[in-house]
Amino acid sequence: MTCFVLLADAASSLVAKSVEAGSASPMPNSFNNDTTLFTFNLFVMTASFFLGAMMAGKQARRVWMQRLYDHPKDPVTIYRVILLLAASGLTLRCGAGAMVLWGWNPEHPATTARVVMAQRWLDPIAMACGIAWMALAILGEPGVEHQLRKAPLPVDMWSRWPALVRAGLVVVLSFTAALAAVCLR
Amino acid sequence: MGAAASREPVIWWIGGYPFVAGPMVVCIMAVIITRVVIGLQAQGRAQWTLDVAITALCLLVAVLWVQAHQLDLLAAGITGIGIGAAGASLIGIAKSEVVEKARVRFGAAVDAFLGPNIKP
Repeated sequence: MTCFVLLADAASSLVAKSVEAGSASPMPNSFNNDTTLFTFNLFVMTASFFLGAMMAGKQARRVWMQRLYDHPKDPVTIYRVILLLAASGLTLRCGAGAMVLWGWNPEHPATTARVVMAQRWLDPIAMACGIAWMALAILGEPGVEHQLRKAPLPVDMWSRWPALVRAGLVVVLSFTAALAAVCLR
Repeated sequence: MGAAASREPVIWWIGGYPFVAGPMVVCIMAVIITRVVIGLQAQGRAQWTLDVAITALCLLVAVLWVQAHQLDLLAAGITGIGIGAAGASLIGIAKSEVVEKARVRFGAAVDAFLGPNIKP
Protein backbone atom coordinates (compact mmCIF):
# COMPACT_ATOMS: atom_id res chain seq x y z
CA MET A 1 0.00 0.00 0.00
CA THR A 2 2.83 2.37 0.81
CA CYS A 3 3.96 2.17 -2.76
CA PHE A 4 0.62 3.50 -4.04
CA VAL A 5 0.67 6.35 -1.52
CA LEU A 6 4.20 7.23 -2.58
CA LEU A 7 3.28 7.00 -6.26
CA ALA A 8 0.40 9.38 -5.62
CA ASP A 9 2.80 11.76 -3.90
CA ALA A 10 5.10 11.69 -6.89
CA ALA A 11 3.64 14.92 -8.30
CA SER A 12 5.41 16.93 -5.60
CA SER A 13 8.47 14.68 -5.31
CA LEU A 14 12.11 15.57 -5.79
CA VAL A 15 12.19 14.07 -9.28
CA ALA A 16 9.17 16.10 -10.38
CA LYS A 17 10.84 19.27 -9.13
CA SER A 18 14.14 18.47 -10.83
CA VAL A 19 12.38 17.59 -14.12
CA GLU A 20 10.43 20.83 -13.93
CA ALA A 21 13.56 22.87 -13.25
CA GLY A 22 15.83 20.98 -15.66
CA SER A 23 16.34 21.30 -19.41
CA ALA A 24 13.31 20.30 -21.48
CA SER A 25 15.10 17.40 -23.13
CA PRO A 26 12.80 14.88 -24.88
CA MET A 27 14.79 12.06 -23.26
CA PRO A 28 16.17 11.42 -19.75
CA ASN A 29 19.17 13.61 -19.00
CA SER A 30 21.47 10.61 -18.65
CA PHE A 31 21.34 10.26 -22.45
CA ASN A 32 22.80 13.75 -22.87
CA ASN A 33 20.58 14.29 -25.96
CA ASP A 34 22.15 11.35 -27.80
CA THR A 35 19.27 10.28 -30.04
CA THR A 36 20.94 7.09 -31.27
CA LEU A 37 21.62 5.82 -27.76
CA PHE A 38 18.07 6.69 -26.73
CA THR A 39 16.56 4.87 -29.71
CA PHE A 40 18.68 1.80 -29.04
CA ASN A 41 17.71 1.72 -25.36
CA LEU A 42 14.05 2.20 -26.19
CA PHE A 43 14.22 -0.63 -28.73
CA VAL A 44 16.08 -3.08 -26.48
CA MET A 45 13.93 -2.42 -23.41
CA THR A 46 10.66 -2.74 -25.36
CA ALA A 47 11.73 -5.85 -27.22
CA SER A 48 13.02 -7.51 -24.03
CA PHE A 49 9.78 -6.72 -22.23
CA PHE A 50 7.69 -8.43 -24.91
CA LEU A 51 10.08 -11.36 -25.34
CA GLY A 52 10.24 -11.91 -21.58
CA ALA A 53 6.45 -11.81 -21.32
CA MET A 54 6.22 -14.29 -24.19
CA MET A 55 8.67 -16.68 -22.50
CA ALA A 56 7.05 -16.38 -19.06
CA GLY A 57 3.61 -17.01 -20.53
CA LYS A 58 4.87 -20.00 -22.51
CA GLN A 59 6.57 -21.62 -19.51
CA ALA A 60 3.66 -20.95 -17.14
CA ARG A 61 1.34 -22.50 -19.70
CA ARG A 62 3.60 -25.53 -20.10
CA VAL A 63 3.79 -26.06 -16.33
CA TRP A 64 0.01 -25.80 -16.02
CA MET A 65 -0.85 -27.97 -19.04
CA GLN A 66 1.53 -30.76 -18.01
CA ARG A 67 0.68 -30.67 -14.30
CA LEU A 68 -0.91 -34.14 -14.36
CA TYR A 69 2.15 -35.78 -15.98
CA ASP A 70 5.05 -33.77 -14.57
CA HIS A 71 5.35 -33.77 -10.80
CA PRO A 72 6.37 -30.36 -9.30
CA LYS A 73 9.73 -31.82 -8.25
CA ASP A 74 10.49 -33.42 -11.62
CA PRO A 75 13.58 -32.08 -13.38
CA VAL A 76 11.51 -30.81 -16.29
CA THR A 77 9.28 -28.78 -13.97
CA ILE A 78 12.31 -27.32 -12.20
CA TYR A 79 13.75 -26.39 -15.58
CA ARG A 80 10.49 -24.74 -16.62
CA VAL A 81 10.13 -22.86 -13.33
CA ILE A 82 13.71 -21.59 -13.61
CA LEU A 83 12.91 -20.25 -17.08
CA LEU A 84 9.62 -18.82 -15.82
CA LEU A 85 11.35 -16.93 -13.01
CA ALA A 86 14.13 -15.69 -15.27
CA ALA A 87 11.62 -14.47 -17.86
CA SER A 88 9.45 -12.80 -15.18
CA GLY A 89 12.46 -10.96 -13.80
CA LEU A 90 13.45 -9.83 -17.28
CA THR A 91 9.90 -8.72 -18.06
CA LEU A 92 9.58 -6.67 -14.88
CA ARG A 93 13.02 -5.10 -15.12
CA CYS A 94 12.82 -4.27 -18.82
CA GLY A 95 9.16 -3.35 -18.62
CA ALA A 96 9.94 -0.80 -15.92
CA GLY A 97 12.90 0.45 -17.93
CA ALA A 98 10.76 0.78 -21.05
CA MET A 99 8.05 2.55 -19.04
CA VAL A 100 10.55 5.14 -17.83
CA LEU A 101 11.82 5.77 -21.35
CA TRP A 102 8.36 5.89 -22.97
CA GLY A 103 6.86 7.95 -20.16
CA TRP A 104 9.62 10.59 -20.04
CA ASN A 105 7.90 13.88 -20.72
CA PRO A 106 9.30 17.18 -19.38
CA GLU A 107 5.89 18.78 -19.97
CA HIS A 108 4.35 16.41 -17.41
CA PRO A 109 6.77 16.24 -14.47
CA ALA A 110 4.24 14.33 -12.32
CA THR A 111 3.93 11.48 -14.86
CA THR A 112 7.68 11.36 -15.25
CA ALA A 113 8.18 11.21 -11.48
CA ARG A 114 5.57 8.45 -11.20
CA VAL A 115 7.14 6.16 -13.80
CA VAL A 116 10.62 6.74 -12.40
CA MET A 117 9.45 5.84 -8.90
CA ALA A 118 7.43 2.87 -10.17
CA GLN A 119 10.65 1.49 -11.59
CA ARG A 120 12.30 1.72 -8.17
CA TRP A 121 9.41 -0.27 -6.69
CA LEU A 122 9.38 -2.89 -9.45
CA ASP A 123 13.13 -3.49 -9.46
CA PRO A 124 13.26 -5.34 -6.10
CA ILE A 125 10.45 -7.63 -7.24
CA ALA A 126 12.33 -8.40 -10.44
CA MET A 127 15.47 -9.05 -8.44
CA ALA A 128 13.52 -11.39 -6.13
CA CYS A 129 12.61 -13.41 -9.24
CA GLY A 130 16.28 -13.50 -10.20
CA ILE A 131 17.42 -14.62 -6.76
CA ALA A 132 14.69 -17.30 -6.60
CA TRP A 133 15.77 -18.59 -10.01
CA MET A 134 19.41 -18.88 -8.93
CA ALA A 135 18.49 -20.53 -5.62
CA LEU A 136 16.37 -23.06 -7.49
CA ALA A 137 19.26 -23.78 -9.87
CA ILE A 138 21.56 -24.49 -6.92
CA LEU A 139 18.99 -26.60 -5.06
CA GLY A 140 18.09 -28.68 -8.10
CA GLU A 141 21.61 -29.01 -9.45
CA PRO A 142 22.54 -32.64 -8.54
CA GLY A 143 19.21 -34.18 -9.50
CA VAL A 144 18.72 -32.18 -12.67
CA GLU A 145 22.28 -32.73 -13.89
CA HIS A 146 22.01 -36.45 -13.23
CA GLN A 147 18.86 -36.58 -15.34
CA LEU A 148 20.38 -34.46 -18.09
CA ARG A 149 23.19 -36.96 -18.68
CA LYS A 150 20.91 -39.40 -20.51
CA ALA A 151 21.57 -41.16 -23.77
CA PRO A 152 20.91 -39.11 -26.91
CA LEU A 153 23.20 -36.32 -25.81
CA PRO A 154 23.55 -33.93 -28.76
CA VAL A 155 20.40 -31.83 -29.03
CA ASP A 156 19.11 -31.10 -32.53
CA MET A 157 18.61 -27.35 -32.28
CA TRP A 158 18.90 -26.24 -35.89
CA SER A 159 15.62 -27.77 -36.99
CA ARG A 160 13.89 -25.47 -34.47
CA TRP A 161 14.70 -22.17 -36.20
CA PRO A 162 11.10 -21.59 -37.37
CA ALA A 163 10.05 -21.47 -33.70
CA LEU A 164 11.92 -18.18 -33.42
CA VAL A 165 9.96 -16.44 -36.19
CA ARG A 166 7.50 -14.84 -33.78
CA ALA A 167 10.32 -13.61 -31.55
CA GLY A 168 12.09 -12.13 -34.57
CA LEU A 169 8.89 -10.42 -35.63
CA VAL A 170 8.54 -8.89 -32.15
CA VAL A 171 12.11 -7.58 -32.33
CA VAL A 172 11.58 -6.00 -35.75
CA LEU A 173 8.29 -4.38 -34.72
CA SER A 174 9.81 -3.06 -31.47
CA PHE A 175 12.58 -1.44 -33.47
CA THR A 176 10.02 0.17 -35.76
CA ALA A 177 8.10 1.49 -32.76
CA ALA A 178 11.24 2.94 -31.14
CA LEU A 179 12.33 4.57 -34.39
CA ALA A 180 8.86 6.02 -34.95
CA ALA A 181 8.70 7.36 -31.40
CA VAL A 182 12.03 9.15 -31.79
CA CYS A 183 11.58 10.43 -35.34
CA LEU A 184 7.92 11.39 -35.32
CA ARG A 185 7.16 13.01 -32.01
CA MET B 1 19.39 15.10 -33.47
CA GLY B 2 16.92 17.01 -35.63
CA ALA B 3 13.44 15.63 -35.25
CA ALA B 4 13.91 14.29 -31.73
CA ALA B 5 15.44 17.46 -30.35
CA SER B 6 12.70 19.68 -31.73
CA ARG B 7 9.50 19.56 -29.72
CA GLU B 8 7.23 20.06 -32.72
CA PRO B 9 5.05 16.94 -33.06
CA VAL B 10 4.76 15.56 -36.58
CA ILE B 11 1.15 15.61 -37.75
CA TRP B 12 -0.24 13.55 -40.60
CA TRP B 13 -3.45 14.54 -42.37
CA ILE B 14 -5.51 11.48 -43.21
CA GLY B 15 -8.87 12.02 -44.86
CA GLY B 16 -8.90 15.63 -43.73
CA TYR B 17 -8.31 14.79 -40.06
CA PRO B 18 -5.07 15.54 -38.18
CA PHE B 19 -3.30 12.54 -36.64
CA VAL B 20 -0.34 13.03 -34.30
CA ALA B 21 2.10 10.64 -35.96
CA GLY B 22 4.27 9.42 -33.04
CA PRO B 23 1.61 8.09 -30.66
CA MET B 24 -0.40 6.69 -33.58
CA VAL B 25 2.49 4.62 -34.96
CA VAL B 26 3.46 3.52 -31.44
CA CYS B 27 -0.09 2.39 -30.70
CA ILE B 28 -0.31 0.50 -34.02
CA MET B 29 2.98 -1.24 -33.24
CA ALA B 30 1.86 -2.06 -29.69
CA VAL B 31 -1.33 -3.69 -30.96
CA ILE B 32 0.50 -5.73 -33.61
CA ILE B 33 3.25 -6.84 -31.21
CA THR B 34 0.72 -7.87 -28.57
CA ARG B 35 -1.27 -9.80 -31.14
CA VAL B 36 1.93 -11.51 -32.33
CA VAL B 37 2.93 -12.36 -28.76
CA ILE B 38 -0.37 -13.79 -27.55
CA GLY B 39 -2.74 -14.19 -30.45
CA LEU B 40 -1.28 -15.86 -33.43
CA GLN B 41 -1.58 -19.58 -32.82
CA ALA B 42 -2.90 -19.87 -36.34
CA GLN B 43 -4.00 -23.36 -37.40
CA GLY B 44 -5.06 -23.44 -41.00
CA ARG B 45 -6.39 -20.80 -43.32
CA ALA B 46 -9.64 -19.90 -41.58
CA GLN B 47 -7.91 -19.31 -38.24
CA TRP B 48 -5.34 -17.08 -39.94
CA THR B 49 -8.05 -14.98 -41.54
CA LEU B 50 -9.80 -14.65 -38.17
CA ASP B 51 -6.55 -13.51 -36.50
CA VAL B 52 -5.99 -10.86 -39.15
CA ALA B 53 -9.58 -9.65 -38.92
CA ILE B 54 -9.46 -9.32 -35.13
CA THR B 55 -6.09 -7.55 -35.34
CA ALA B 56 -7.62 -5.09 -37.79
CA LEU B 57 -10.53 -4.49 -35.43
CA CYS B 58 -8.13 -3.92 -32.51
CA LEU B 59 -6.07 -1.52 -34.63
CA LEU B 60 -9.14 0.50 -35.55
CA VAL B 61 -10.35 0.77 -31.94
CA ALA B 62 -6.89 1.59 -30.58
CA VAL B 63 -6.07 4.24 -33.18
CA LEU B 64 -9.43 5.95 -32.78
CA TRP B 65 -9.10 5.87 -28.97
CA VAL B 66 -5.61 7.37 -29.07
CA GLN B 67 -6.76 10.01 -31.54
CA ALA B 68 -9.91 10.86 -29.57
CA HIS B 69 -8.05 11.32 -26.25
CA GLN B 70 -4.84 12.86 -27.67
CA LEU B 71 -2.71 10.42 -25.67
CA ASP B 72 1.06 10.76 -25.35
CA LEU B 73 3.57 8.01 -26.12
CA LEU B 74 3.35 5.93 -22.92
CA ALA B 75 -0.44 6.11 -22.73
CA ALA B 76 -0.73 5.26 -26.44
CA GLY B 77 1.53 2.24 -26.00
CA ILE B 78 -0.34 0.96 -22.96
CA THR B 79 -3.67 1.47 -24.74
CA GLY B 80 -2.36 -0.50 -27.71
CA ILE B 81 -1.15 -3.35 -25.48
CA GLY B 82 -4.43 -3.41 -23.58
CA ILE B 83 -6.67 -3.45 -26.65
CA GLY B 84 -4.45 -5.99 -28.39
CA ALA B 85 -4.60 -8.21 -25.30
CA ALA B 86 -8.38 -7.92 -25.18
CA GLY B 87 -8.45 -9.17 -28.78
CA ALA B 88 -11.58 -11.07 -29.65
CA SER B 89 -13.17 -10.19 -26.31
CA LEU B 90 -13.65 -6.66 -27.69
CA ILE B 91 -16.57 -8.08 -29.62
CA GLY B 92 -17.86 -9.72 -26.47
CA ILE B 93 -17.59 -6.47 -24.51
CA ALA B 94 -19.45 -4.61 -27.21
CA LYS B 95 -22.13 -7.27 -27.49
CA SER B 96 -22.71 -7.61 -23.78
CA GLU B 97 -23.05 -3.83 -23.45
CA VAL B 98 -25.48 -3.70 -26.29
CA VAL B 99 -27.48 -6.62 -24.88
CA GLU B 100 -27.42 -5.09 -21.40
CA LYS B 101 -28.69 -1.73 -22.65
CA ALA B 102 -31.41 -3.41 -24.71
CA ARG B 103 -32.46 -5.50 -21.70
CA VAL B 104 -32.63 -2.45 -19.43
CA ARG B 105 -34.65 -0.46 -21.97
CA PHE B 106 -36.92 -3.41 -22.66
CA GLY B 107 -37.46 -3.87 -18.92
CA ALA B 108 -38.21 -0.16 -18.51
CA ALA B 109 -40.67 -0.29 -21.39
CA VAL B 110 -42.40 -3.34 -19.93
CA ASP B 111 -42.56 -1.66 -16.50
CA ALA B 112 -44.02 1.49 -18.05
CA PHE B 113 -46.55 -0.60 -19.98
CA LEU B 114 -47.61 -2.58 -16.93
CA GLY B 115 -47.95 0.56 -14.85
CA PRO B 116 -46.89 1.12 -11.23
CA ASN B 117 -45.96 -1.98 -9.31
CA ILE B 118 -48.67 -2.60 -6.73
CA LYS B 119 -47.66 -5.01 -4.03
CA PRO B 120 -50.40 -7.25 -2.66
